[in-house]
Amino acid sequence: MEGGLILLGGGGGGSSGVSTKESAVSKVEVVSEASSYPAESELELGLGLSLGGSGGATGKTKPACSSSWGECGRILTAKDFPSVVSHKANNGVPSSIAVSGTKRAAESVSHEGGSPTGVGHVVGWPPIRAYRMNSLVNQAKAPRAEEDKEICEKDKLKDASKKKLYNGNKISSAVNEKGHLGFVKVNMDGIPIGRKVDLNAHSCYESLAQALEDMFLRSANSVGAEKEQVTKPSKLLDESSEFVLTYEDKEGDWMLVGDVPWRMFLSSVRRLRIMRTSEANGLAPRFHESNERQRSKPI
Amino acid sequence: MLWVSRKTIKMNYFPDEVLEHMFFFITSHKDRNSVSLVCKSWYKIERYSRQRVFIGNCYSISPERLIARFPGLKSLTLKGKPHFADFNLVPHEWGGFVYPWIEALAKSRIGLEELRLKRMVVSDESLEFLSKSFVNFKSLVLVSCEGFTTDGLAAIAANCRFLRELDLQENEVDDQRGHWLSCFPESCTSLVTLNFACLKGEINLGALERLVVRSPNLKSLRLNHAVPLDTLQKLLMQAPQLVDLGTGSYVDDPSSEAYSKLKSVFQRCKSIRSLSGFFEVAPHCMSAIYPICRNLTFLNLSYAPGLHGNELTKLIQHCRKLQRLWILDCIGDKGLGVVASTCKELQELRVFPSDLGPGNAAMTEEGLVLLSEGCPKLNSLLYFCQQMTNAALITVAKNCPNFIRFRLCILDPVKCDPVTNQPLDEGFGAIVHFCKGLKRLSLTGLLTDQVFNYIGMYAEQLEMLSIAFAGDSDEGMLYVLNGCKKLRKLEIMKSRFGNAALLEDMGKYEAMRSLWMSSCEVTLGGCKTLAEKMPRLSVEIINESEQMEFSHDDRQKVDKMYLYRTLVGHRKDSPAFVCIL
Repeated sequence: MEGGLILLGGGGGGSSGVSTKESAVSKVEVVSEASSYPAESELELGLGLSLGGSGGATGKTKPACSSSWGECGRILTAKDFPSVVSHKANNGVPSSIAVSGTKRAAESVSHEGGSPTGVGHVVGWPPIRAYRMNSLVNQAKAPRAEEDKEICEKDKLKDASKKKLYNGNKISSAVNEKGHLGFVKVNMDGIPIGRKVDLNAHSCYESLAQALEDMFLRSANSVGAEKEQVTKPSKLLDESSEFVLTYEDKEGDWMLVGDVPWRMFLSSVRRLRIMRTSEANGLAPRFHESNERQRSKPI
Repeated sequence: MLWVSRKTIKMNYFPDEVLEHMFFFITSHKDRNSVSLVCKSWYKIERYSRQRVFIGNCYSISPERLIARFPGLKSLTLKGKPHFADFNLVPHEWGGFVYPWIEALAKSRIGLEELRLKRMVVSDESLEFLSKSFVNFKSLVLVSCEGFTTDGLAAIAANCRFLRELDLQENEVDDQRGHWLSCFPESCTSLVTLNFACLKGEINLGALERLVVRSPNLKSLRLNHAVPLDTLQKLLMQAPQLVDLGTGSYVDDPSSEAYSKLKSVFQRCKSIRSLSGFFEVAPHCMSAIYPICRNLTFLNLSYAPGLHGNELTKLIQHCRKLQRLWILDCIGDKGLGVVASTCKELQELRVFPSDLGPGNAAMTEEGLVLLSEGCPKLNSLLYFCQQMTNAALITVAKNCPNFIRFRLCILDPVKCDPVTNQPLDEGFGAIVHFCKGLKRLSLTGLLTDQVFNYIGMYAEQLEMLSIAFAGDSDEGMLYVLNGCKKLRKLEIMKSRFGNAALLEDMGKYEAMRSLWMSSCEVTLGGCKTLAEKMPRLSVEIINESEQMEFSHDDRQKVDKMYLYRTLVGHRKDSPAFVCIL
């Protein structure tokens, strides 16, 4: 599968269009900054969370990402997404068609059968324009106006040293919260260059995990050799992988991804970090337990 | 028997110039099409005098044929992707590229002045090409398009010297660095409409202010979220003649100087009839708007989740002349009651969901009933709700027989009447029965074949029908195809209609613009049969799954089928995942 990454022209040079691959990969920007993390001592690790919620994964069937988020709580691997495809760009017209827009990842995983009562988990349902849907999600993240300023002041102070603003201009704090449409920074231990992922392009944890895998694994193999090799070329977010996906929430705490319902996650996530499992000690007391359990299960 | 020689019958009593002058007054596309069918000479006069052309499916005709027939073309409207593309059912690279059209028009001697596109893929190259090819280009309207960035807009701004209208509605636009607004030259003073509300990035505020200052004809201005309240105030000072305003971010401290200036400038804006925006909103700043409210005919608060309950209703109570209202379901059923008692002129209402979590939809049948009781002029509805009853629909149908568009979306799409546990067949049956002018209908809820029986029987003017999760058997679809003589667009997802329905009356599809069926029971074999028998239809199978790979098993169900009539055969620009049978 041609798991290419989409590089938006906007980040670097203003080329007006890039031929893109299909929905499997979410929009990505390369943010060239040194990744800097709070020192270990500053990490306030949250309560233990069980990542491997649904126990043994067959790894072969499509997940039914229904409205009971619990089933989405487990971060799956590439094998769980047989329907994800990349498509060739079109012929016959200038190839620099910049297909922009955040697509809901619901499209990349087709859900058949079952009760369609899970709103937002059936492709094409509810019938709301993608543009409006994106705005909805963005605005759900932004608190009401009075609170806006407060939170953003905190943001600014905290991230002043680390933040590279997308277009480098002065941005009002209120806009900063929302203006980037759900793009959050993602850093992976051992890789100095961070990325951004558009959370609005996903509707559940699986597709996010898939996108991150594509982002960090494929690129690690194809870009420079100065980065540490990711020894396991697949199953980045497998329970048995040496990496675990965590996020920093609005209060500055680092939590395991997959704990809370997806939409709650969307509204509280500030950035993501793919952390070495060994450093996740203490992050979730139960984590190791379930980890052990799953290591013995065939994937 | 009386034989009349052809020579003695003349349809044309008037010289061509007079006919042409008469045709000038015939503006609707349908009427002009009819005129062109009367006789050869009327056809000829009509085609040379035709300036505006509407093409509902860009693949139904080629740009070359368009140009050949209408050399005097000035305004072109094109639609690309099928409607369900709005809901992510059609992959981005499916098609609908505007470039070939612009290329062909540029090569010809057509003096294009206006281009209106919906659901098309528009590249920056296309925009630049457009901007350089037509000296008198005046108006660009893009609705739900994608594929371009602000670089393309910069080209339009820089090169279209007589630009009057740049109207971007709900497009997916990539924001590049660079200040497209600054690309409007100082000599550009002709703007009448500027709508960039859908842009996500920053705006050069200084450039915007200077542009507004030198645009005395500006009537419609819709800002994006990046424009703050104090800039809004400055802009309105320069443009008190605005008729249509879309605010940017509407947030400030009510005690600020900018806000008090805004209050006083709103009092001077006596022409504003249409108001939208409020992407971020400070509720206590809304009172500044009250002076405008009394003259408003269109109010769009559907991107303003920051306004709730009381604030909303207080605002609406000032809007006695409202004809169109777009709102979020934060308004609630009771809020619709306020609308019903205040907005007696209301014709169109759209209520969008603000929270898609399960069970969170705020509206029920009660709000709709209240509305129908207070607003008998209602003719267009889009209503997202949690539930609906037959009784309510029947009441609404009787109270508002003037519906032209009725779109109901129950967020749980197969929900039955919660009071009677019955399907909603009777309720929708009443709608089609009482609303004799109904042209567009979208159905949800638990629905059997019976509702389609009603639709086939009563919906004589129906042109567009959208169905999801409905029907029991092919009978349902057949009722519709046989009964609705004026049907033009039929789109169906996840319903139990199959080959028998698809193939019963194949000629029908040539009288329609298009048919979409996804996740239904039609098989590859059925589609192939149709394609074979109907050469003037293009039958597309959209197949995204790697596994399916266009297997040659005719019994395989087709995931997505889109068919449309066309005069130019199969399109050449389809991507790999589309198979045209």
